[in-house]
Amino acid sequence: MSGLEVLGLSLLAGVILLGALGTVISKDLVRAVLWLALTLVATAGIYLKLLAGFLAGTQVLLYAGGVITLAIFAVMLSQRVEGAGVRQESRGLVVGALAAIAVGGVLVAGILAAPLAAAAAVPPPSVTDLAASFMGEFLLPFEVLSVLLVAVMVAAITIARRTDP
Amino acid sequence: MSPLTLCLLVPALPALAALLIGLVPALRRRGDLAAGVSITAAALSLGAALWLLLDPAPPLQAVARWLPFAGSTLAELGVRLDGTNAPMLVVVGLVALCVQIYSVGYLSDEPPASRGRYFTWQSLFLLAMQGFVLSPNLLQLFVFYELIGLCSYLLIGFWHERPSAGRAAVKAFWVTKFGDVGFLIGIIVAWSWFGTFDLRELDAAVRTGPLPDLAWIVPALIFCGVASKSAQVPLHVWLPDAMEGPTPVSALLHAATMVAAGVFLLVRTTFLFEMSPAVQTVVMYVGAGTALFAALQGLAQNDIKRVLAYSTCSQLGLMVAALGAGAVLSGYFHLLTHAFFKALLFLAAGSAIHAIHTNDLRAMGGLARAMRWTALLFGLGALALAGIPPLSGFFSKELVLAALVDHPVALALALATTLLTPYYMGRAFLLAFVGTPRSEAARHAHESGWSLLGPMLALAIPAAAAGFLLPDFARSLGVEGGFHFDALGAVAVGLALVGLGAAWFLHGPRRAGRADALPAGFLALVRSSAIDDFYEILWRRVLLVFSRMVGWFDRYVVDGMINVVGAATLALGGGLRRVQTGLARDYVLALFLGLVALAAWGVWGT
Amino acid sequence: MSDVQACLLLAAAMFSIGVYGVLTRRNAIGILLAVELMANAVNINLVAFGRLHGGPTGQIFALFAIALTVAEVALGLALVLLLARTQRTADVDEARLLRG
Repeated sequence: MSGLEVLGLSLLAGVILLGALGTVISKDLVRAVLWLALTLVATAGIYLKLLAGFLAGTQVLLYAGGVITLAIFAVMLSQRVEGAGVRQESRGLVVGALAAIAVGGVLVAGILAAPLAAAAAVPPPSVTDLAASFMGEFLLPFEVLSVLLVAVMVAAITIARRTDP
Repeated sequence: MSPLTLCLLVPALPALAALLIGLVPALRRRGDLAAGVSITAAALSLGAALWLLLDPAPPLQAVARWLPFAGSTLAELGVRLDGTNAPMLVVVGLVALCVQIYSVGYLSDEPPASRGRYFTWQSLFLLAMQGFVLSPNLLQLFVFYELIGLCSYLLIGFWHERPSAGRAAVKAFWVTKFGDVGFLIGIIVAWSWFGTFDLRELDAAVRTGPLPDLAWIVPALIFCGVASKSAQVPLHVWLPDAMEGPTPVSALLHAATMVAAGVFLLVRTTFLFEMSPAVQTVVMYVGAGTALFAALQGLAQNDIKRVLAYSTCSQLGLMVAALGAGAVLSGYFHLLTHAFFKALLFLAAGSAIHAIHTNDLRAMGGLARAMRWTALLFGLGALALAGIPPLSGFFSKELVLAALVDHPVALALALATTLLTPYYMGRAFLLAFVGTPRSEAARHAHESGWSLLGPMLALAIPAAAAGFLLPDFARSLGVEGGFHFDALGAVAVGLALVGLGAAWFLHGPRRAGRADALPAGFLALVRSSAIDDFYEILWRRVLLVFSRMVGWFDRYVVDGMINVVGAATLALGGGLRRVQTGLARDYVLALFLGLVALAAWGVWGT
Repeated sequence: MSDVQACLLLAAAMFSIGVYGVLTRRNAIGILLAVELMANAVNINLVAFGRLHGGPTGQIFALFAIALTVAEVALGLALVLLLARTQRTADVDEARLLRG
């Protein structure tokens, strides 16, 4: 990789990791959601680096737009239910950290041990290629996904509606 | 009817009666109906026994396989009839029948349900006794021995509302059981050496083969059983207390039959005792010692039934002594004559007790005036017991003394007994029937009814005349034995007369019925409860302590092992339970740890 | 190291941070946010491998994963609201009825 690539990648990686840490450590829930937003946008940057433009756009739209909004609303609504401010003391920090390090360690070891060739020489898939795949090879999962989304919508409404008079 | 059928009928009829009365509540609650069934069965059983005796067939033995073992038979069940036990069947049957008829009158005050219970046990006992007499092998002898012991317990404790009766029943049971343990071990040892329980086969094996070195163990152990049931010292302690039962029970069990079972066992297993002269000598001295010891005890009793109980103990001692000396005819004949006159004595005493509602001699007196027949029959029994000719006791006692001629010490003991026996019987007779009445009840006594007197008369006849059947009896046994009147016999009669005279002198009318005429110190010694105290200590300090230790072991070690397993399981469960904290985070942690493990295996595993 | 490898390592780090968050956060929404991190780490993995092998499969799977994750978050938040309403607080440590 060229020096510029390395710099760019390092920058993005730094932002992502910083944002991730902020998400899990921040005591204020709203701030945590915002840290997550930062992380997700930086992730879109990684997708761009990996030549997945459509995916990057989708990432920003869905996550930074949809999920973050959803999360903010949820935080506000649950705050109202609770009445008090959102408390966020965490417990079992050491155990969690150890488990996280264990997971990470194993994954890293696996990655480093794997024989990975360089990136393929073929050009990355275009949107047309993606569309053709959706309508061709992955038609069934695509349709099922739409059904699933409907189901999830109905379920979410049913679960979250107020039942008391 | 074939001899075998008759043999089987003898125990089967009372068994049937016992089952019927025992299992049919309607029958049991009607006391008189139960009595009828029981007496009918007893009478028919006696009929069968008489037929077998009077129409003798060759000896028969019929057995059926009972316990299989390693392909062949371990134990058999059956009957055996020969010249030895045929007379015993008749004697037992006759005494039992008389006692049962007597009981109808004696227990007329009892509630009907109680009487039903009584006759159930009486029939059961008759079954046990006749089964015992007919047993062909040691194991069956033991089984019926135990059954006899059970019936003794049931009948002694018949008036179970009285705590003293319950205690006496338990005491009888325990002491006889203690001896029976030795008996059982003896049976097993004999089986292990000779390979059989059957009496005929054992007899043959003992006569032919070489005997094991420790052969004396078998008769010694069997004698344990004999000593406990026949109340030899030191296992005699249960017999006086057994007088808590109704008097007919005392007459049947503790005079004529149950205690005689031990002696009969000795008769049946004589061939085993002949293996060891040493054991025979011990048996003889135990018997002679018991005879004198019990006679001394009999001098000091104020309860008329206890006098008779100790008298029974003493006479049993004489029987055992004779058998120890090897004289089967003597011991056995005395057993049979004793059955008659002792049962008669008990029934007569019961008649007096029934009239004045007390056993105490000091509250009696002058009963002969009102109760002529009772007095007459009691006197007859007493004279027979004393050995006055020509009553049956004279012949049998003379035979016993003749058997001991070669053993001076034993003979001396027996002669001393011969002196004391008439004395205490005379004392009892005089205190009860002669002189002036010493209590209100004695003054108002009247003669008992014929339901009581009839059986007494029936027993009086053989008590008086059985001596003349001696030659037939000897022939039935297959031994030659006759009766010779010699110097020893004269001495015996003389001693009897001296004893009677002493009684007349010390307790007769001129003494105005004083009960205690012997030196006070002597009487105190005789009446001391030293032996009973010794057993009490043995029971409490040794046996119960040991039982408590065993109980502790059972509770804390044996049960403890199980409890430990249970507790460990619970502890393990309790510990494992903590894994389920209910917090989702902990379950997720477990999930991730599993993931790490799998991934590690994927990365580094082979 | 190639950029694919670097992205994989980055995804691994992001994933472990997400694990830490799942195990440590007390508030239910906080846990969901950490789960989001993990899901995104997986997505980076998918895209990286897709880049490695060529062809659209990697990105297709990533798109599916995004859709599913969004749906899951939506449902999860609905459940969190229900939980908060039921036990008056969003603290997951309060939900302990299945304790053994």
